[in-house]
Amino acid sequence: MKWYERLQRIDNRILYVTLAVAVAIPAFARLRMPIPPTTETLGAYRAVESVPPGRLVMVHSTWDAGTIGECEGQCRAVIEHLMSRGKPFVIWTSNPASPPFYNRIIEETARRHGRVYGRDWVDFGYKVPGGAMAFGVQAMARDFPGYMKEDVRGTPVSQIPVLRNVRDARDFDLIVTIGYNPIGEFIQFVQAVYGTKVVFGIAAINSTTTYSYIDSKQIVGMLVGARGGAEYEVLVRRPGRGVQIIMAQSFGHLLIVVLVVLANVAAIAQRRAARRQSV
Amino acid sequence: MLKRRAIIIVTFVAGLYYLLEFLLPPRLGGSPDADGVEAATMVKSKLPGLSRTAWYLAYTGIRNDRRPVLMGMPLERRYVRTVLLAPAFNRHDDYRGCTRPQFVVPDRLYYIGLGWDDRTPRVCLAMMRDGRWQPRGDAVLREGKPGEPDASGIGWVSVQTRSEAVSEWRMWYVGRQGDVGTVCLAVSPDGLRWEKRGPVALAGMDGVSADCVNAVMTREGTVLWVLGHDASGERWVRTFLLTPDGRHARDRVTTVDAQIPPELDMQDLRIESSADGLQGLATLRDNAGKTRIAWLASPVEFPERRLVLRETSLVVPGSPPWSTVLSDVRGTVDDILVVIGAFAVGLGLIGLAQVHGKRVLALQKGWPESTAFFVAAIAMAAFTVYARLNPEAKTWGTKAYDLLFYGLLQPLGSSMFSLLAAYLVSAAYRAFRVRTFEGGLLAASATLIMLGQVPVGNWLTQNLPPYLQIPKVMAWVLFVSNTAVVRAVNFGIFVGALATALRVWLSMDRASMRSIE
Repeated sequence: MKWYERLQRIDNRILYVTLAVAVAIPAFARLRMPIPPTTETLGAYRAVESVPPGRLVMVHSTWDAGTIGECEGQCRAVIEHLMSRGKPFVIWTSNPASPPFYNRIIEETARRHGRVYGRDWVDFGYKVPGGAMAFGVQAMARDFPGYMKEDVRGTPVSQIPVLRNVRDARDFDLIVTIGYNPIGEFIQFVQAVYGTKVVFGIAAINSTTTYSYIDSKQIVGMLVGARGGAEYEVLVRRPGRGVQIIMAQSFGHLLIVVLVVLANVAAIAQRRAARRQSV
Repeated sequence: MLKRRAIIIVTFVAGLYYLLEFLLPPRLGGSPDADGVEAATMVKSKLPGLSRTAWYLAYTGIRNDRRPVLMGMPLERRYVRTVLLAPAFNRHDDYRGCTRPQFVVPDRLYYIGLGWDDRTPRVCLAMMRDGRWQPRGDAVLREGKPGEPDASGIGWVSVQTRSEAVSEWRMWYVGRQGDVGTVCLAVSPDGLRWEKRGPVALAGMDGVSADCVNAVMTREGTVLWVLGHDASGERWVRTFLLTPDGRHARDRVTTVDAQIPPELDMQDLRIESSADGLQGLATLRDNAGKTRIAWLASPVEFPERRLVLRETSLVVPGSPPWSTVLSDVRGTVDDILVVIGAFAVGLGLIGLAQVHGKRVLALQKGWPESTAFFVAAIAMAAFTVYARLNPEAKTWGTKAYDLLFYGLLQPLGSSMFSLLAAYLVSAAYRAFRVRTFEGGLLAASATLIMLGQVPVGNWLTQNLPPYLQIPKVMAWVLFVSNTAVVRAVNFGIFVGALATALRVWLSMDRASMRSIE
């Protein structure tokens, strides 16, 4: 078998082991690479930063175990930013598997910054089924206390100090939605109707379809996959899981590029050899 | 047959409801200021549609289902209300509303436009041309940079034209940073190009927030009338005599006694100078939230100490619109659909239990997996309910929940997605062969995006010129070419979906109904 044939038929097991070794490199070697923020991440950061004191932010989180690699860094960085600046927020989800994941982050961050439930954040848990987001988001935006009714601890909205004057989506300055898919309903039924700013935190694979929303200013920022989380962590000066994951991902991507180049060089060599033989 | 007819009828009624609710405005007729009036100004001018020059009032008309507009009415004939300026699709700087006007004779109307991007208030300008107010395209003064006193926008404006004493146009405005308003100054040679000069030093303004500012020329110099509120929310009106440069207040600070009925709250205040003395127009809000514009006057005295109420309800909201019942029941219809959706989840569980239950009872092929389904579903449901009911407890029940959720479900979910990475490497290696020009383009853009998404792409090209750095090229690909393609695809998808939906809705696409029969 010629070298170019061998290079095109590498066994899958070798590929998998090489991938495992590549993504493990950053765990053993202390590598440092610059992570400059992109326009979309800066937009998200500035949106949180410009929320006036005392005004509310809504965080909608749908990530779970399957998307922990891409979305955990995003959620961690956004919660860190909100809590370090003392900007109160409400959090809720349309995925019943999500609350344990975001709650762990919130509790850890709140302990570090001395934040108090009910004053600095409120958790409404699982409220709207993922399949009924269009109806749920509309109803929630129109009459927040009427739709949410009570938080996960059973406290009515009217008795929660930070939500005392909240009526509809106008009372929120910013909505950050973090999950695998972009939740377009926040653009359709909240940003367009009430003017509330929206930031997406989504998986990288879904980001290509949402760049047009940044261009049209329907969303003010976007966190793209693990990269978005890592860049935001650097912006809030607390590098963590997002940075670890993006370093591992760097070597994974590099491996894919190297393999594609090798396979194409071998394929070109094979085509030339075949042409020579035919001549 | 009956089932099919029921589905068609329900689909038709629901579709008709949403179509009519979408096409018809929620409220029909009514005045553009039906839900509120605020921020008035007075001018002696000739407004569109009226034949002679007279005193006119301009104010912001509020309608909850529309964007705010500027309205005008002659003082003598208050029933004649005209829309002076309304937001338009082709103007970004006042796209979400025109508010808080100030006439500057002879032909200018400064106002606060609410911008397209995030409703950030900024100063816009309209000029009288051919008997109509023609807005300029862009704002004349915008919000400042983060950290500056006007970082969140400009909430109120008072413009003073060039005079014998002052060789430049001056604009005092309330810059907003979050909830805090600060009086600032900008100057201009022509009233069009403004340059910010920063906050005005006013004594006694520490810890308080300004809401409105009005500059009035007097014999002693420019006097600023400031409406503000302190930390407790209590409002006050104070006057400050400025130094000639307009940036500092002299020692003379006077608190003005505004004689407003105690049950009304003053929201804003515009002071106009006239031959009859100073005229004040204030927006008053009652306990029910209803607003009206009151007419006040300041007796000629120095320093100014009083604002006397001349008329409590100079302008009140206009005629209310008719409500369409369709929009009133929108919440109920939405709720019904959410409940139907929730039933579907329950039905899914029942269906699963039936399929797997039959298999277990008959010991058919795959019964161990079906048993595992029941064990997993019951264990997860039981321990989750237990952990929810006892959130603080540290018992075997909560430990079992932690084990199942964090020890089993989370790693299994992560593992399922992680497997994609291995398949991706294998698939990219085997399938990515460049055989055509288009294939080469695809491979090149994929490589760019893959390297641009990770720090290594930046690290590899950080010493190259910017236009060759991978993150910069990736940003261009994503923001320009990718965005154009996605928009084109989306247009196609939605036009196709609309056509298909119409076919199904009008029962033209009978194939989709056959399976139900």
